[in-house]
Amino acid sequence: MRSVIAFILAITLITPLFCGCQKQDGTADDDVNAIPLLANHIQQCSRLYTTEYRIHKVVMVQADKQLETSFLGVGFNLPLGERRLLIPMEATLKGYIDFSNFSEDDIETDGEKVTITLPDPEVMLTSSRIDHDGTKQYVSWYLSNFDTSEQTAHAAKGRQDIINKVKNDSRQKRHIVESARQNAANLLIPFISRMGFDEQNITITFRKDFSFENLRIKTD
Amino acid sequence: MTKEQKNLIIGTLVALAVFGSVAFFVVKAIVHKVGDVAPKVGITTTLTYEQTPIIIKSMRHIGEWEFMTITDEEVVERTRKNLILSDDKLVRIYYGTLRLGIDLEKLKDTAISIEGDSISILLPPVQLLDEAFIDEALTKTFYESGEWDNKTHNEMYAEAQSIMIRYAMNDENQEQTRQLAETQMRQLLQGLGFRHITIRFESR
Repeated sequence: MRSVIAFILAITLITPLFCGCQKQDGTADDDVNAIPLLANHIQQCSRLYTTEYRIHKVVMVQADKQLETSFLGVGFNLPLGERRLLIPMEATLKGYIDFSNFSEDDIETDGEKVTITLPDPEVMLTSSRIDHDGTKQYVSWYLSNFDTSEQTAHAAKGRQDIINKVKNDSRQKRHIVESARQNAANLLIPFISRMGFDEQNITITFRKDFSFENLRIKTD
Repeated sequence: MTKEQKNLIIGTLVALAVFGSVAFFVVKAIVHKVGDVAPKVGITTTLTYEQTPIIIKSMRHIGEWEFMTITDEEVVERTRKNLILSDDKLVRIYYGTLRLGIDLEKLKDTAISIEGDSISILLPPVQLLDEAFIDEALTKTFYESGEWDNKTHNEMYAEAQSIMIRYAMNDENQEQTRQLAETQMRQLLQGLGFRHITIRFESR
């Protein structure tokens, strides 16, 4: 009889718990034990990096809290507190020539004179670094600080901003293309001249229909 | 206690249980219904990104010839013991792209010798072309509890960097990079008209 009573009481107490709770994802401990499979891969390539740009940016985030409510059908917001974040960061962009499809057909020589037609220059974002020591946050005392996860998410926005600005700035792209070309020539001409060619007889060209507007920015 | 008294107690408990469950669902339904018309109160966050300029801090000419790209992801974690509460933990996944190749700016003046259609070239050693290979803005925080300072973030970055270098700079990868560099260089030299080509690498 006692077991029947215990069963009924248990059902009475437990039912509201199940009905009142939203379904939750795995607990934090479960998550720690389920680190995703990490990817490592190796790829062959042949890229000649000729120019390196170090770009600095400060990400400024304002994530103020507000109490949103309505009274008699009129909605209004009340400021609750301030959360501000400054993240100085640096990104490295490199201009390069991809020699993956380069072949002997791209070299013309008659013994004395040599003409090399180089593939189109490209740009790649090769690294980004958050200046943790320089990161500042200004948060009302009763609100929580920006945690590591939030800080990195905002830094990712800054990284994307750098890519977008370079992509959309014609002057910047023209400069990158010109310097990638010039530096490739500056690097290859002395190298080839040491192989017995007179510097005046060495010509480095790029395909004629390439415009700086076609510059691709890789972000892998 | 008589049998009638026992039955009365059981009957009362069952009635209470049934009544409790029914009352719960009724109250829940009322709250849900009223919630649709009652004024809503909530805390919102207004997120604003200030448009800041990007500044080119430096530009330099380089001559890094890359032959192998190694994409790596590494997990780095920190645990801090607490006396009373549960331990604090930070688990982060770092993403890096390591580039192996040769630095043409290190080519020595005496590296090339030519005799007729024969050429011998001594290339600089295969190396990691850039120590800054982690894309830290893409780092994912897999788990975080407690507050962590800048020093910890810098230490975790350095640890991820060191693990990735150990993974990428093994003998096998270095040897494969040398072979790729040799193939590429041979193609260039053949295009320039050389028939007998000797390519060697400086030791590190």
